[in-house]
Amino acid sequence: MLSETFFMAIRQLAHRARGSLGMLAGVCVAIILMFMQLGFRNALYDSAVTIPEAVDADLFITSTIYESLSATPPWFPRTALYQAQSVPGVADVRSLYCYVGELSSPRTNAKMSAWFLAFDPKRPVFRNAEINEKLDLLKLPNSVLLDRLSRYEYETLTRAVEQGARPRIVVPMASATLSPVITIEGLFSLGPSFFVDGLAIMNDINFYRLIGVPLDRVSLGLVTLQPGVDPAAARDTVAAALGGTAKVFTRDEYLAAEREFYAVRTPIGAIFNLGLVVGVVVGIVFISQVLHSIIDANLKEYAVLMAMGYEVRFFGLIVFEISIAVSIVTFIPSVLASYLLYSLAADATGLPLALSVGSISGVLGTVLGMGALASLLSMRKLSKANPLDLFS
Amino acid sequence: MTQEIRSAANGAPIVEARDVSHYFGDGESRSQVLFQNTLTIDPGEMVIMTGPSGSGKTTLLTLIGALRAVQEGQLNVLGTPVTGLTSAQLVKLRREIGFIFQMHNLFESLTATENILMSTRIRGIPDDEGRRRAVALLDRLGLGHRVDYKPRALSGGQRQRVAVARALVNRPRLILADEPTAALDKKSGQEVVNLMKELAATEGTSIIMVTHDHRILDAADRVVNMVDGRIVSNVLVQQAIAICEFLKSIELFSHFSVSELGGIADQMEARVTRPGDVLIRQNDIGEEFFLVGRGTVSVHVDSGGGEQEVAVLGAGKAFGERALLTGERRNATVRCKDEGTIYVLDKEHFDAAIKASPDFRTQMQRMYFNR
Repeated sequence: MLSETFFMAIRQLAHRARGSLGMLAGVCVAIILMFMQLGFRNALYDSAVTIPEAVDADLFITSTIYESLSATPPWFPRTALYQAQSVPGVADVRSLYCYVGELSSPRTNAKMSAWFLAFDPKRPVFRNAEINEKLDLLKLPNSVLLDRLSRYEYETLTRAVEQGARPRIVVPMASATLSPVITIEGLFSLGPSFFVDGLAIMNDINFYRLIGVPLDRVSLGLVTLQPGVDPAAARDTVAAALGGTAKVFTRDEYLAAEREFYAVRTPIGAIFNLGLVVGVVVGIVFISQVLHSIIDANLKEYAVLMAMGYEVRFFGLIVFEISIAVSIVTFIPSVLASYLLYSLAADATGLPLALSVGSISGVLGTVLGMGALASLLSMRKLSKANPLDLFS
Repeated sequence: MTQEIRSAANGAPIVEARDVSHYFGDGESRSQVLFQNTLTIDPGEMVIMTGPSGSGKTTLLTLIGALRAVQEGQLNVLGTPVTGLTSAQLVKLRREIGFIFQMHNLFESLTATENILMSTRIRGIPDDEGRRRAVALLDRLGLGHRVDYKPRALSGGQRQRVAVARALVNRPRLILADEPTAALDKKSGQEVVNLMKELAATEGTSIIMVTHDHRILDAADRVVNMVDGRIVSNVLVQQAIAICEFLKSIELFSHFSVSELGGIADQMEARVTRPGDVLIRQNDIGEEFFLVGRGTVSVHVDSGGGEQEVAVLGAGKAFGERALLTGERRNATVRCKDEGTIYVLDKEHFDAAIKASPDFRTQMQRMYFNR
């Protein structure tokens, strides 16, 4: 029966393909919309963990009221790190200071948001080789390294550095009589986050000079473990040693919590998910339109087949197979279009937009599900085929 | 209840309906659309059903086509009792029946052959065999050069011929057709009907066709006329024509109009006879009028000294009218000499027919009092 219904499904769809072109294009738009929503959402989540992923740590120690690295994190006392250092199995503990501040655009003097990340250059915290090569540059007074992937407002600065200049840049401070000035000594590549346009790293002393936060107030504690130590067990022993003065995460937990913050606690995850739902609904509507137009055009012919002795499930199967065919036919060009749009969007935003196998198969599954749902919705229409209506 | 008329065909009937009634609606709005209809259709018969719209002929057709559940009465189709079948069993029965509708209802997306394959597939016939049959049939229908054309590239008559082929390809023993020529011009309509009849004759298929198309009435073996949910006449056309011709040549009916003769023919019952059957016995009271259709009968008179054969009557001769007209007893005994068919009219209908004719009295006088 499958081969017979498949034959009918393909022939009927092909016959009406030209007339259904608009509706098929509608399905494509819905699929592309889903890909864009999914892409931006995932890019958002990925950009949220750009910094944590670049950090070399097996365990993360944060303040007890810490939520995420989306803004300046609350501090916790450095003594907690000394306590952690004494826990067996811990190899090293380093401090990372984080602050979301602003830089003045050298062109317009407009404020540009920026991450300031600081650490002791003698105890580097990043896995990024480029940063680690340039640690000496950080030792200079008022020096910073700038992320060359910072958003386009920073382009004049990064370009100047690449041409060998060492631009000086004002850090606007509302409390300062004279705004401090920093020198960009070099560049590295990490990638911007969704909220903050640029990223600058510096040594902890310069950080203290610039922002004025005492260095015993730590933003993130980075723990490396001795080889073979189980992170989950180490987390428990470290947490016990700290006695509730700070929170401890394994690396995986910390990354998951950062993603989760964007997905659940900010409206952004919800907005993109809503966009996905809109794509799904629009897609179902257009697939239903295709199915309806085919059923409508063939209602009498289906009724003849019913009179001949074909059963309702035969037609149900035809409609289901048409919906699958529509899903596949529209999916292929949509993936190609999405790939192009991803490249364009990635160039424009610097966000890590990537068409992963996971999202391709996820969307394909969703589209097939949409087709199945649309064919279920069309069953009512199909039930209007009645051999008795064929008689005059 | 309509009196049942059978043709002389052999084999078990294809359709047997007895006292079939049908209702539409429920409760207050329930209304009866068929009233105790009885009908038998034999193998190879082409039956045309006529009647005004709303007369119930389509309802009866859909009941015979196993497209509705039978509510009341007994209905056998292709030897299967339809009464009380589940819908799955109805579906199975429908696979044995060919349907032709007013509109061709072919799939625009499929070629002529592929449309016909839809019919063979439901019967589990492999596609190559189905294709062979479809092409052979289309060839026979004059569409051999169009087997791979889609309906859009065919004329109205050609499309309907494809639809006919779709109904015929499984060689069903019963074909139901609803106004198959209504959408066609005269020539195509005639062509389609002739092809159906020809194929039906060669395959022994019975056809029931609902139509208003008078142009095709003469193709039918039997015409069933329905009014208000009842079969009001059920005529074997060829037989009726033969009876009319016979009656016309008999002096008693020579002044009757064609429609009056047709009315009498409708009421006559065909009776198959064997040698030695006694049709009339001398001195009995007259109850029936006879017309010899086929075969011969002998007339014997017993004037006290034993029976004497006085005459032999062949096809087209009538007898038995005198006792009905004059009220006398039978004046002779009539026996069948061989196998044949005798058409019989009972006294009630005979009287009614005679009274309806204005020339009756003058004829009576001429025949019986001026001799």
